[in-house]
Amino acid sequence: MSKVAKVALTLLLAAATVRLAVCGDGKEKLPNPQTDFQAYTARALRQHFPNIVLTNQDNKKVRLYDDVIKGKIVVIQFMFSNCERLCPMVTPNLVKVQKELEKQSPRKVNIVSISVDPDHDTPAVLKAYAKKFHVQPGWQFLTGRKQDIDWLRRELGLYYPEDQQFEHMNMLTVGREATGQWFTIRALNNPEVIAYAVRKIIPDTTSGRANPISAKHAHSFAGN
Amino acid sequence: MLDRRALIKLGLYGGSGALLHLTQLKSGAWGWALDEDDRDDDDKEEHHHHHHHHHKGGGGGVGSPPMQPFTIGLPLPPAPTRLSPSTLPGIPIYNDGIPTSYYQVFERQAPVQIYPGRPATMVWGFNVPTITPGGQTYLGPTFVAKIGERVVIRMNNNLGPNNDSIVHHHGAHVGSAWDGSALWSQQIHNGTFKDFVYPNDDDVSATHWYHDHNIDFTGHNVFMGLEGFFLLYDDVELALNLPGRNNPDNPQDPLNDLPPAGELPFDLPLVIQDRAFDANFQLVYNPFASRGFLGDMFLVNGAIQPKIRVANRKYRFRILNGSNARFYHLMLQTNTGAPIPFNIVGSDGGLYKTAIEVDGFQIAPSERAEVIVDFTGLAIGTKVFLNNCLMQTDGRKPAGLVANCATAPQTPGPDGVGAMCSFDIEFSVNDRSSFTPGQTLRPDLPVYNIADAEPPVPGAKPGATHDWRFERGQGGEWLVNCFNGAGAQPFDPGPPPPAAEKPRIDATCKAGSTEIWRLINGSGGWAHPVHIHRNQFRIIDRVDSGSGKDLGLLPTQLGLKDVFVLDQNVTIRLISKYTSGTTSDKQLGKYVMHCHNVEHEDMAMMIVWECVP
Repeated sequence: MSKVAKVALTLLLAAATVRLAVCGDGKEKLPNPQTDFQAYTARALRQHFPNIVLTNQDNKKVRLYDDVIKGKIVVIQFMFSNCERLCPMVTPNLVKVQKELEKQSPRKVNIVSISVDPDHDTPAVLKAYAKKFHVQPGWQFLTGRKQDIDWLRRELGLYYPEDQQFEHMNMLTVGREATGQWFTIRALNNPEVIAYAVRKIIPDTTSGRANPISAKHAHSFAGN
Repeated sequence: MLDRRALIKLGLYGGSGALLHLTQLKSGAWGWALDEDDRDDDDKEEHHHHHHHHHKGGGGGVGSPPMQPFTIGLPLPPAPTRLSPSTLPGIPIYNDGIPTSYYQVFERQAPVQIYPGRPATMVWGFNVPTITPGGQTYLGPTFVAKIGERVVIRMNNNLGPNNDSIVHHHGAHVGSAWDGSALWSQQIHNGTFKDFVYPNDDDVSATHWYHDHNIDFTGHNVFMGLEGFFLLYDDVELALNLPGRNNPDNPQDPLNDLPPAGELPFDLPLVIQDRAFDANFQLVYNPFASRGFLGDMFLVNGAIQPKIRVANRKYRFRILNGSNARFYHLMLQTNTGAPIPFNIVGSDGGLYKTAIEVDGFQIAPSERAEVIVDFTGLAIGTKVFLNNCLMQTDGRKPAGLVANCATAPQTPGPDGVGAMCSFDIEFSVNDRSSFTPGQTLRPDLPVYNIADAEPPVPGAKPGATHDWRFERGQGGEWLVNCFNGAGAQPFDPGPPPPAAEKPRIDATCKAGSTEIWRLINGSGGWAHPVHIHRNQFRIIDRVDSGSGKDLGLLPTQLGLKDVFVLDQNVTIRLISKYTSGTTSDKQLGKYVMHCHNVEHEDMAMMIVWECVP
């Protein structure tokens, strides 16, 4: 890179930094990483959530980022109603996870199942599927344009064209948008373990507070 | 190369959800790019626009702001301050005559100056910001202890609400409660602390490290900087008078090989890592990089491609690959393209019996390689580049050696080939150290006899006590032994607290017994650096998983090991004796084995094994 180009780049970089920090898009200020790194991280991760339009089992249109993810704690799972191998095990397990979560932390977590076979999985088909498995409120089934859904799968690290045989139907993407805490967990794990891992990112649960047991260094001499 | 459209977008898009970053355009120049949000219209209108679809999930960051390489110094984290236990209320105090050192560490978030003259980078780390004469870094303090010296550390988690941490001492024989396995009971919650006791009594001198090991979040936490060195030394090592010999017990020891004032030591721990930064100079982690996260910038000890000022004499480098998923093949080349060999003198578990000279070597995530490098005879002004010659564009596995590494670009390109740092020969100094290529180092390493090994457990083939297959489950997730007849069994940390911790135990090992473990990668699709906690092992053999053809050991596999690279279609057998140490817990209890591609580990590529009386 020439010296001129370097100087130009430096100036542009500085200008862009200022612009990003001060102006954002005019609607919303970019969080300052020095003072609110969590919010900054959450903002940076938005690039992974395309704001695609999907339709839920009640035929209502939702935007993925604005309506499903923003400000929420979500468990995202990909499925299709004709899936014979994994989904028949995953959905009932997720029903147990939902029960566990509702028992411990009612109405804190939204479960989202997104069809990877949207041409077949119309809202009506998904509604029947949800009913068949006795899914409770707080759990949406979504369908939409196949290319949009594949885009989302790619963003979440659960879609590779060369691995078609591995459909990643049994992974859960769990996260809290506001803090940028996201992880992937296997959907066939013990539902209590999944619920516990999810609850770790819910505000004001045990891990967010000082733990009196740990503060007394109970672990120090613990033999297993 | 910043086109009008991009400039307009700079204004229009600053916060639409698109992430602005610098990226290298096809022309080779740097320019602004927007990330995936606006892909649809970009793909139609701007074909020079990079999208890197293949990096999603499988790769990682691209487009970090460039930095002039070989301009900043090497950060060298100092040793922590020894404390009186009376300053740490409630800490276990030992009066048993065994030398004991007490420390306190705080895990926290802090700004660290990584790009000079730019906004500081927020990191997570131990006692950060770590400020050293060579610059700031996210690395934690470097612990140094003599074999037999007990180290007690009060570890405080101040990472913020909902940020748990588990701290693992990688390489050590320690009690299960202090090992730092991914178990619920080992979590330190925010605002609390845990006291760790490391007896350091059942190892030889070695380059260990400590890092976060939290359930589901290890990849993120390690990427953000929660790591540091833990060096153990002993009398056998001191007696070798290797370069940089420094007996901390006796600073006046005439045999010490200390540098002139203001110069770096001749024994340098160097952690090599790849990282990604955004346009605001902040670390960018992708929690959805399920194949393994790759960065596009090379850092040594937390500094981007530092210039390391050295003398034309012998040095000892303790190289740790602290990357999440990137493998390296390291070579040394001068600015005139002349190769300089490495003398590998040790690996994960300490010094070798015999030094071996190589032109280059592969180092996988979490592996250590101790090398002696002789710069003697090089003219002042010579620059020696530590080059990575291994291409890798996907977190699953490296993509082979580049044809001619001597012409490697100084800044890593999209294939990851480039220089980690430069060693600049800038002064001369008397070299009192002793090293001869091929020399004997440690004749006293433990010997494990195959004849003593426990017979195969049900399901294991003859020749090993346990068989472990590292493979993908039916849903594409990373697992261990998922097709073993018991159905797909993911890592299961057991019922959540307050229930008694009962993870599924995949193997039990009787204290005092000798076992052979066979690690199998039956696929050509990926590579896994497997790490086993608690013990150090010797590698018996390394064969092709299909034909059984002997592949020989790698030059980094000739001593005590705790990381085993399962390259594509490779099977490794290893042996160890499950000694109990001298502490009252006998080091019984639960430990883990897992892939140290930390994204694979976070997903489920982990088993729990238990050491039983």
